Amino acid sequence: MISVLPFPSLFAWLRGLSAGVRTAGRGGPETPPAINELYHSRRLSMVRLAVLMVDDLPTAEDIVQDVFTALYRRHGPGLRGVTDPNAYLITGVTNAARSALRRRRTARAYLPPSPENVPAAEDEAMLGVGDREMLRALRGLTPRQRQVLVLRYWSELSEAEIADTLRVSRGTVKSTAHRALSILRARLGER
Amino acid sequence: MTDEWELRLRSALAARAGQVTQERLRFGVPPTVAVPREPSRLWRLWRWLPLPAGAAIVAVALTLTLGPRSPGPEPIQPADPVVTAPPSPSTTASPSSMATDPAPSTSAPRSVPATPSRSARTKGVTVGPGAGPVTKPARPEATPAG
Repeated sequence: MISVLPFPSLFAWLRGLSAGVRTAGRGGPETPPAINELYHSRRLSMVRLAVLMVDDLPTAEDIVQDVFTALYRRHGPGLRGVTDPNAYLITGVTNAARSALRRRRTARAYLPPSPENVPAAEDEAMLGVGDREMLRALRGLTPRQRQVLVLRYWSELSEAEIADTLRVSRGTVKSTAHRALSILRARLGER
Repeated sequence: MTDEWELRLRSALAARAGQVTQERLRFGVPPTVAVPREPSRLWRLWRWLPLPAGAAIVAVALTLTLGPRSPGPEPIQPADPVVTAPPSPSTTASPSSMATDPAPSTSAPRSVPATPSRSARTKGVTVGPGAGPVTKPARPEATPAG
């Protein structure tokens, strides 16, 4: 009895191993294109989300590409085991943006700010005065405060969804949003 | 008041996001094309781990199933019957010398044979080297009286 027990699991493992070898050997055009469909349908909105968090477009594109690459490497072309790919992407972009902002803040302590970290002049010119002031004030918030506001007022996520995305409590989301709005209000004045 | 601020914030975020259009993005390469997916080195090692683990489990199971059982108490052998033999007065070679001298010897045994009496002659026979170091026990020869 004891000697028989390991064999079903061993057989299952061997089946999985051979299937993995077949999948790895096949590759190419026969793979299911779930990751590609997701990439084509969600890339633009993810880049927009990243731009709102890190300000400049090249960094935002790099962040999104890295997140898609990580998703593909971890879960394969069929997105195996991912129940909500959109939530996965938002979480990935948010975390990567926070890391980028942290790196940028560290680098700013040693180097003068590089010109590519601010929006292009034509982009600024296209915005209205009110929007420009608001975005400038938004840039002065901490990464966490900025993320909460972007997820709340642009991604239209609920407090619970933001808490899941940022892996914090709902109370933290609520207090962070309240504090961030107070700072914006103080910087822009009660106009 | 808060609603107005929220509206302003929404408007600013939407305006900034609207500036990012598909045409302004770099040419997007899907990750299936950009990155050939290969299992990591760690995963390549880990996926072979069940093989030695399974072999070890099977070995342990076989050892437990077919291995030697634990030795129980040995049965007590009946005691040898005590045989009272007449004491032999003399031997040509002591048992200790026989046991400690495995080499064949053509010479006389090292131990001096015990002589029970002057009248008794020992008769030891030492065989040749081909027969091994077997020494027949000597038997005392009674000297006829007179």
